[in-house]
Amino acid sequence: MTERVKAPFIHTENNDAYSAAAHLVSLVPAVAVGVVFYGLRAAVLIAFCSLLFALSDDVCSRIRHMSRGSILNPLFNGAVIALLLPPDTPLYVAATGVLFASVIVRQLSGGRGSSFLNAAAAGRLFIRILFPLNEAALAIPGENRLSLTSLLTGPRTPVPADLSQYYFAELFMGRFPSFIGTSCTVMLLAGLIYLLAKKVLKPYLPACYLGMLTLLLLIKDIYMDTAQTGMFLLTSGILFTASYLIFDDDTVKSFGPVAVTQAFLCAGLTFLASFKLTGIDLLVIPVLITGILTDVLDFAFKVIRATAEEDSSVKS
Amino acid sequence: MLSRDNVVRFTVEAILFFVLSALLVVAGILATNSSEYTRVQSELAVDFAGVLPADSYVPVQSALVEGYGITNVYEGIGEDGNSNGYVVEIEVTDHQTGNPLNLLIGIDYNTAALTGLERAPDDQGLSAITDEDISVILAQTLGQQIPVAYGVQRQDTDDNAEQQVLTGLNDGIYYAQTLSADRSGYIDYVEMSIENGVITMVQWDAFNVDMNIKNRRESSLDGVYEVSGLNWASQSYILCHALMDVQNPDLLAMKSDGTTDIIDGVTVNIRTFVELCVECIENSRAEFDKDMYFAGMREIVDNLFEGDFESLGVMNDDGFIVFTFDGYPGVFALPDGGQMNVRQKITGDLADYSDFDSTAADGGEQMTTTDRGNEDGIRTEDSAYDADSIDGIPMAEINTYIDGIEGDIMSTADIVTAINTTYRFLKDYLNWMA
Repeated sequence: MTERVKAPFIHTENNDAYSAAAHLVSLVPAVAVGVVFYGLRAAVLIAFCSLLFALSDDVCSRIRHMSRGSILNPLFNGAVIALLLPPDTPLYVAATGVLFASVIVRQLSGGRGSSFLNAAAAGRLFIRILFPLNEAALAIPGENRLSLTSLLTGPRTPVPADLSQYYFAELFMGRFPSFIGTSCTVMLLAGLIYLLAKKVLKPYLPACYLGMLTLLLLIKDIYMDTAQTGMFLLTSGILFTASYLIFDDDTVKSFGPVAVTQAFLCAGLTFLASFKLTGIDLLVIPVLITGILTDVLDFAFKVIRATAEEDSSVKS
Repeated sequence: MLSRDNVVRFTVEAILFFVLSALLVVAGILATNSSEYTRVQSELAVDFAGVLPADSYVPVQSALVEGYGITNVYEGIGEDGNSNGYVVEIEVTDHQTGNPLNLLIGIDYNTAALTGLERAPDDQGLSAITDEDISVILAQTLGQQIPVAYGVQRQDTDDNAEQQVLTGLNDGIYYAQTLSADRSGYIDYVEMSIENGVITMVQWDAFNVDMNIKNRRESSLDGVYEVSGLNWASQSYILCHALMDVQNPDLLAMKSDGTTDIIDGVTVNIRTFVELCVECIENSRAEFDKDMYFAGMREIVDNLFEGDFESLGVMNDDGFIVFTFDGYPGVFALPDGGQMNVRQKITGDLADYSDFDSTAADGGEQMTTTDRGNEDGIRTEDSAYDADSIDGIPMAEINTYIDGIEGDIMSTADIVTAINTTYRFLKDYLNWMA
């Protein structure tokens, strides 16, 4: 039997750099929201995290004598970490998360393209664990747009927001205290549509994740208050997860049944986590657990397939 | 690698995407402004109902807000569209724990009366000051005009009270300042008024050799200059009144380490204060008043620089001579190795004016103390006295006197500081002249 492999000289447009570029451009609406809502400090945080991630990734690649690849992928990961941060995060806190994601997670968990952990999600969780006080201070959109002091001093006194007091329009536009880039449903949808249009993300993957999660939430809320499901979808930031955290280039091994399983698994875990977790924990912990479990599943699938192929070749 | 075409395409798309997104967000903000306004107003109405009811609340945007350590200021607007007053959210330090306390203070626009005082909704509850403490102060100040003084009574409440006074004092205003700066660059000074042989006003403060730095009282109120216990301004206030109470710096019972145990709320080193008070008293006995002191200082500095005083620029905006003699140890040296003060340097009069025997104001019994810096002391008692200032506000402006929280002068001081800081802000902001 002849094994069919792609010829090395055939270059498709949809390569690693193309995918990274599409992912990066798809973040632009979320970046725009962050900059318009939170001003200069958000812009500085996004630029800082992106460049630091790219720099540390490049240094690590040189030290390990590995191919450096496209700079766009680390820029994307750095931006994702920044968009998941509270707007008043000081630079040293952001740097801690970025360096953990780039140097520890990305290098030790398999490197670019073969990681079993989403580096950005792991970096963000690291910040959450190391600087728990940072999480409470979610700034109000539109306040202190020109101030840069929080980049050095950190958050002011936290003001807990009662999101039940907000109007639908405000929630839909992301005009409530949240992380820099996870609040605006409209813009996250725009980014997701861009990714689908560029064909770097299969439509059925986010559909499986969001559909499954919405279904589970509706089942839970149907006897209580279905508006809670809407509130959750608008305010929790899961659209950001669907677009940028679960199906990234580093952790997704294929677009086959494993990826679909990954989508359903993450939806289930997010649903279960929603009973106990909130904030950034709810966004990143299910993603990280899914990444680890998917790697195990992927390995199992490959073993099963290899065994089956071996059996069939023996029979033939 | 991306092809050249893809680089161009992605770049153009990113720019277009950003512009369109920003436009859409701005449009979204405009579209949701009314929703936000309604929501914010209903939240503020709930939060401020207890301090200043109003039809709507407008945030006050002023550079003055941050200068006073005030978190937020809202103007309450009535149904007629006119101002009802102001709600000030202010953070003060609870000096018992060192933790912050956030308070909401409501002030009526027309009468400058306090309309409400309560813990702010976002107060983290770290302070030891309880809601009951706040309620006690509220009960004493509600409907009363600010600013507020505590623990004092108006002058002359008991004309028959016997008061110990020093002998030989001449009426007038007397002044003394340290001849060198402390480690923070502050030059301390004491100003003392004497009427009918009685000390009626004492003010202790310090200006800095760096003329851009506020005086110590203001710096302490701004939280820049910190001491243990009450803020320095409050301690200075209490100490000055203690002196007016006992009329004799020796009776402040300064210990050998410069502190005193007998004045509640005073933990700072009072040695400089006592020494400057003694100098003022000696100046009074020698009839060397404040104007003569300033002229003397000017002459001394003038002589040091051969008549070039004006070009030195050592006079600050408040008229104090900001000069330290650290580099000129011989200027005030006596032949026997001792030190002169400004009066002795100018007049050459080295006579001893330091008899600190006290006598009753009505000519009754005498009290005598010996060395300053003993380990024992005499407890002061609350009695009638006039005042100079509290929280940086001249006592002449004080409109309400309260007893405060019984047995808790520190909590009283902290809450009153919040009220008086609110007054100082509004006075500046509205150009009030109360």
